[in-house]
Amino acid sequence: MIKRIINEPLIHFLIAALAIFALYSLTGSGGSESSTVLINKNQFAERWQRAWRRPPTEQELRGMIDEYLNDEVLYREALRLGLDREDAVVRNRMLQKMKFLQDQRVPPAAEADLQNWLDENEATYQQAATMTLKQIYLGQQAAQQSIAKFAGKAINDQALSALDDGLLGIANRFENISTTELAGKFGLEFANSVDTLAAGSWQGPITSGYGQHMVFVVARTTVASPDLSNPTIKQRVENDWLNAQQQRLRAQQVQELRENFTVEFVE
Amino acid sequence: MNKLTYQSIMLAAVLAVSACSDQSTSNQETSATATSTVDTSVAGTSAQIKPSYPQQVFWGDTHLHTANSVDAFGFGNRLDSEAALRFARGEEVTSTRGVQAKLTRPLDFLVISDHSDALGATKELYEAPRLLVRDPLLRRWWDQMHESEEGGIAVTGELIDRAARGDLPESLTNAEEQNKRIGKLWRAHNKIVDRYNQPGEFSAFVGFEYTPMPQGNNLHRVVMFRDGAERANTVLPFPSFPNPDPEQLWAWMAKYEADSGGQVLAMPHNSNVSNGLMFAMNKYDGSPIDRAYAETRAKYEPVVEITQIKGDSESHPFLSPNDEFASYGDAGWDKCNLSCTENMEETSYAGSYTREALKRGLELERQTGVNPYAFGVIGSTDSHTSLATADENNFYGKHTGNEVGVEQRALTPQNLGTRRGRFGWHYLASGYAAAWAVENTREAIFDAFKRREVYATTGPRITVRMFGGYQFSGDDLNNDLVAQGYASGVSMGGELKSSEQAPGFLVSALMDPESANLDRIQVVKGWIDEAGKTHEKIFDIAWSDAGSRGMNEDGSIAAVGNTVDLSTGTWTNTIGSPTLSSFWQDPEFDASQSAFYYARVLEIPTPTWPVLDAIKYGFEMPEDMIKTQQERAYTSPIWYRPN
Repeated sequence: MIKRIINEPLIHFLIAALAIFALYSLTGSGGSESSTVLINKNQFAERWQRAWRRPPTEQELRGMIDEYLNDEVLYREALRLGLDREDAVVRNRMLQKMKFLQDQRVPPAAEADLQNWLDENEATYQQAATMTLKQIYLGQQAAQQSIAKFAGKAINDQALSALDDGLLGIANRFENISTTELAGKFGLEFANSVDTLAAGSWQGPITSGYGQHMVFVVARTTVASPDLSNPTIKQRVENDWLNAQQQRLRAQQVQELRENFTVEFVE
Repeated sequence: MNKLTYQSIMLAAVLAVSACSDQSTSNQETSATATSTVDTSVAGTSAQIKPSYPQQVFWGDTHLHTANSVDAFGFGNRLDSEAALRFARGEEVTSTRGVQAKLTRPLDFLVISDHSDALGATKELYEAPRLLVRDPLLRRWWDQMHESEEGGIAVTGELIDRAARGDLPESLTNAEEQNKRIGKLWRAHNKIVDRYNQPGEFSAFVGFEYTPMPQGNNLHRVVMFRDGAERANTVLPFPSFPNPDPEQLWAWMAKYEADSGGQVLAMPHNSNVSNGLMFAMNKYDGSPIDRAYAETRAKYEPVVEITQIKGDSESHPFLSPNDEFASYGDAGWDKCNLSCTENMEETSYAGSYTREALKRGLELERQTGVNPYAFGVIGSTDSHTSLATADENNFYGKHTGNEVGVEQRALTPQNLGTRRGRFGWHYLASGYAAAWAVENTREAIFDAFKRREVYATTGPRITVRMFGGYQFSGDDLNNDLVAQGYASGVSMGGELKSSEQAPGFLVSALMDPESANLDRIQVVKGWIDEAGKTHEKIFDIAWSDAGSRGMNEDGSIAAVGNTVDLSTGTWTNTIGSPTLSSFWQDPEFDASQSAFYYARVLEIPTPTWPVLDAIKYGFEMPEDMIKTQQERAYTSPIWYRPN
């Protein structure tokens, strides 16, 4: 229960707000509506010390406080006159502060969170299915007549490799290659076409970035479901979960705030 | 015989053979049943057996800035390291300007290289309460940045200009304060990099950019770690202020390696705007280069970034008047230095372009006994948008001020300093780094960089192999070129032993299947004669349509043609060839002369990104704008050294 409360973004938000309030009351800038300005000399002296690495002289301290006072009374008058409204710079600045508050740390993931995330997004982490395939490159424009002769035929690999003339560096046979790897070698169009081919016969022509190919899908492998015991998968899941939590929290906070408002569309 | 006829005949022959052998020797696996279920622990790439030599090329960007870079944030970039990593590995992210962006082809590795100087400072200044910003200059910057996007860009321009003049406010250069802030940021950043490093799938590297620019002359280096956060956190990224001498960087690198047991390397870039300083014949302080300097430089700077958004540094027509392709990526970058605060004379070019630097290396080797400029090459983006894009059709611009969606970005002046600068169209949608490695891990890829088995492209993922040796022949092209190459020769980046016999080279290139056909493969040779004078010569060794495009008497080859349609921004692969290869033996070999050989592979002409912008946004293209280009790959050289 306590943990739930701690994890609740609105609580973070309130704590942060309280902290800011506390900070402002310390520096004497709280209560901007009142006619009293509270000054804590030590705070000013400390700030000077931080900036200049020595305590201020009495005159410097006075000057600093004086400047602050001048600014503060002008600031309060400005607020009283409503100058903070309808000002794009002020508005942006406040928005930015709010966004900063929203970006508070996401609590670390529990194992169950990760498992749930994995279950919900299994396809994303599914290790790519692979296939074993053979291909013959027919050149940039395939000779239709030749292609016809291929249909349904089996060709031995030795004869096949004799054809490997047009496209150096690209093998005629690929063992256990994933669609992504195939796309890297032949381009996306080819990979997508091959993905839908039935196995067990020569088919084509299939277009790649290089030209036309005949393709024989020998076999496709299936793979086990992704599992958190694989550290690579676990790390990816954790990255994505964290990233999603950040997005979700931001959206949720805005949503919660919006619920306090009524929107009317006017002409 | 044209290729088509040849293919058809071969097909017929194969069919005839297969018809006879169907019964007996036909392949075993005509069945289509799925094979066994694969155990994930075995299928995980980490468990796969490493090949004995690199069989795969991995693509990456070694030069990317995020919102942590002082200028990137100032230019408006709000995307952090995590967004940069997610984008590079193929996830969809929303650009700062709100455009959904996703790479259709993810990268294999990424080095985030934010500027070490004032790391995170603009972000912090921007987010600081105004009350606490006391310095009048910083306060003015704060106001400008909050006022408008243009204000932020103006601040950044001024920041770069002041950095070039050594005139930054004390609070941005005060070591103690900087270190405290930067340390926190650095550790948080490295933690994210570690989280996204996935051996076998995606290598995320720790890195930073060391950014000295005396008088605006670019001496920048990207520093890349082999190590993860644990080791990298023992240091802070080395600032160029007050350490502008690269020898200081190398000393820092040496100390890091000794203290942590880790490894780092540095990659100079944008030598094109160094005003002749990057590959000078002298040290930073003006004294002559000696053996110790040469050894240290060769050790820590094995690779140079030859091409990127801010122009191409391979060569220049002034240096290589006989090279008809030398001008690529030079326009707009050869008149004044990085901040455009100093003009660059033609006499400075020799220290600014890599081909000349490789030649100077031979000269310095003769003088000192060691070649300080024996480097391999890669391309990278230097993008300041957190988005590693290097293609014409996905160009997100140098920085957020000229991302996708800024309609006039190709036409407007892009000032880096406060003076007149360049126009948007001078920027290149370039480049990527290719590494031949045994597997996709930090270690394997870093080691490929170390042994220079890497190459550069201006964006397209052209696959290039180059081997040099004494036992090759043309037959090797038809057999297993790669196995043969490694068995009896050296790959790109390697060195050939002394020999009386001329070395032979096996070079093969395969087009990017998502890009354009190839025009030609060239070998660029550089050498030094008895008198100590250096020379260069370019040999065309393979080209498309060799039947109809013969070699002229002067050794030149007719242009491949141009199919670019400027009204649609398209081209057709009806000219050029998907693949080219050749066995080439140096016909002018002199066993007594040190030499280097590297391959340059050209695509057929394609339209530049400003053309695509002009079509998309409907503006008129200026007369002098470069509208078509021949994108290319440059390999790392192979060196020959006599005894």
